[in-house]
Amino acid sequence: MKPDLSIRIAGIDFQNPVTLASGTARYGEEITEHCDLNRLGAIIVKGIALKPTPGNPPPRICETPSGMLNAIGLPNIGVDAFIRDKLPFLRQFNPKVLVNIFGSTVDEYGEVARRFNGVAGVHGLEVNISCPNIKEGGIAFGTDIESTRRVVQIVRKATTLPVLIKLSPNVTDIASFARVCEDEGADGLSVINTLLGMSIDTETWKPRLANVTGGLSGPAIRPVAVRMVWQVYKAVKIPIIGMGGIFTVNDAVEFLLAGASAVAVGTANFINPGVSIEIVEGLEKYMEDKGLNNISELIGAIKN
Amino acid sequence: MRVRIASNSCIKGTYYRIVLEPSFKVNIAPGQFVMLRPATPCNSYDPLLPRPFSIHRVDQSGNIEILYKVVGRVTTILSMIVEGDEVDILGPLGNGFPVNREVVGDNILIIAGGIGAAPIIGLGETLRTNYPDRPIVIILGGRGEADLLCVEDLKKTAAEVIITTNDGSVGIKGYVTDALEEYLSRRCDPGLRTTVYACGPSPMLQKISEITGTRRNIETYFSLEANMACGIGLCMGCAVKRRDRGYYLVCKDGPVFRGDTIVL
Ligand SMILES: Cc1cc2nc3c(=O)[nH]c(=O)nc-3n(C[C@H](O)[C@H](O)[C@H](O)COP(=O)(O)OP(=O)(O)OC[C@H]3O[C@@H](n4cnc5c(N)ncnc54)[C@H](O)[C@@H]3O)c2cc1C
Ligand SMILES: Cc1cc2nc3c(=O)[nH]c(=O)nc-3n(C[C@H](O)[C@H](O)[C@H](O)COP(=O)(O)O)c2cc1C
Ligand code: FES
Repeated sequence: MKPDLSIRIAGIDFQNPVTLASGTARYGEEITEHCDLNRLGAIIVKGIALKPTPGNPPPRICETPSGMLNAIGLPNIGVDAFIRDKLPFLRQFNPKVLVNIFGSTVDEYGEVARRFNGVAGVHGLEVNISCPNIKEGGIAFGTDIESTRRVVQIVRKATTLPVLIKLSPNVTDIASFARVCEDEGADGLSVINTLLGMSIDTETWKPRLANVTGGLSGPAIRPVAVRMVWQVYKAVKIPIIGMGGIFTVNDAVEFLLAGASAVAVGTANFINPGVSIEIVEGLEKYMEDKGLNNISELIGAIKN
Repeated sequence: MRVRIASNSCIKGTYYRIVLEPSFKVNIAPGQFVMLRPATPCNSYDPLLPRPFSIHRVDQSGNIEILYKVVGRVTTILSMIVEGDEVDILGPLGNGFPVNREVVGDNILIIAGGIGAAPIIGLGETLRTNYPDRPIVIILGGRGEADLLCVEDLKKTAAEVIITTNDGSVGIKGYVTDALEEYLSRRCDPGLRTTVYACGPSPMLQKISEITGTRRNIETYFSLEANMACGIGLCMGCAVKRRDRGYYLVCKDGPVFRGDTIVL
């Protein structure tokens, strides 16, 4: 008998627990040539805001040991253009579509969330709270517990869709942020976004990114991400999508064991745009080899 | 796609030629590139990202030739791999140099600096085949003699090859852009349409833009470089500023752009 990879997360049925991380597959179009989208659990699209924004000047990315820094600056086509031009493409495929949303004020989060009510082909919202709060000095919403609370409250009120909050790792105690999200009615959590980092060229003495600082991703952050998933799993009851440096099936299993109900593949898509399908296939084989029937047998199954 | 290395050897100094043996047929337009990542004998996460390299040419047996200069981590590793090792490639990617009738002028000028010579051989050959009656002038430059690649091949495709070196070891002492100014002011009929194709470091392209921007009847096409992670439009990391608003992605919208549509 084939193992059952399907899983219900935040009220959404995924055919398997493998998803594409926000910002690493845009709106799905470019990656289809290299990746059979129909075989994924979900696609989490690039961040969407109320109005179009151009993103940061170059250089936007640079490589670091076993990872990369990015300061793409959330270029986005705006909610209306997304619904009109990009969503019809995504609707053709099996996987669930989670729309990653962001704003520069609390109210903007609410407004973007509201626009997706009743929009066919959107199964849930993933709220990126790692961006700067313009009205309050540019501190990221997700690193301030009260800003986090207000964003979750306003999004919760604005939408009937399942809401996942994507936690920032740039905090001392991630469990307390997870609890606030759960208390305010979030249906799930994505853990983690990128770690704030920086790199300087020792020839030119200039920062390697035009934005000076950027978000670190890739295998370099995996142990931090696994630790945070585990801490959050112990702190709350709502399900977790785990991510951070997942490149192979074993990496994915590590996140499931730590407590994630699903995983997102991010930076690995840049090295091999078909890798997420290899992970789906690998998971099936892993479960067969271990004699597991249901993916839920792995979730939070760490022995300690 | 994992491909076998047919050969890999030093051309001169820090410049190498690697020949890949793909198991599939490749059709390329000059100026297209591949994302390449060493896979054997050691496939590790450090270095992590693949790197973009122009396709120099595809030979009769369908092998892909790439010329590269050793500048950092991946190119150093590349220089050490040997026949029989494997690399992962994705491509051909991007839009090459446009060579259609609407674009190609009465005069054709191709400018390359250093490793920028890699993609222009194919461009020169295509233009010569398609427009045998139009003279092609190539300006090739480098720091010194050791930085001049493909001189003999270029001489076969062009009516004239003008060489510049910063140290004056061969050709005109100075930059390719000095030779360009000289050529435009003395020998290029402003009544005729001139198309300039260029590949090289960003300051070189900037200077070409300045020089040609003040003249009539010149259209430029630049092949740009950018830090890339994916090469296929996923990461949005390879931005270049558009003249009108926002950004293009070098990997997907380029790497070749009309000079007056971008800000370098
Ligand atoms: C579309 C496109 C086509 C290209 N075609 C070719 C080609 O045909 N042949 C080729 O050799 N290169 C080509 N390049 C450049 C090539 O991608 C880089 O040289 C390569 O990424 C360097 O990788 P690395 O790991 O060796 O250097 P890294 O370790 O990434 O960088 C080491 C140092 O070198 C600097 N550096 C990076 N790129 C360059 C560069 N191009 N010149 C000088 N210094 C640099 C970095 O800033 C850094 O300080 C192309 C780039 C693009 C975007
Ligand atoms: C180039 C790039 C762009 C990203 N864009 C977004 C984004 O728009 N919204 C978001 O919430 N996260 C974004 N992320 C974060 C990823 O979704 C993911 O949380 C993070 O990269 C960790 O996973 P990874 O190590 O597998 O990449 C981006 C990451 C990268 C590398
Ligand atoms: S390199 Fe990723 S979008 Fe161009």
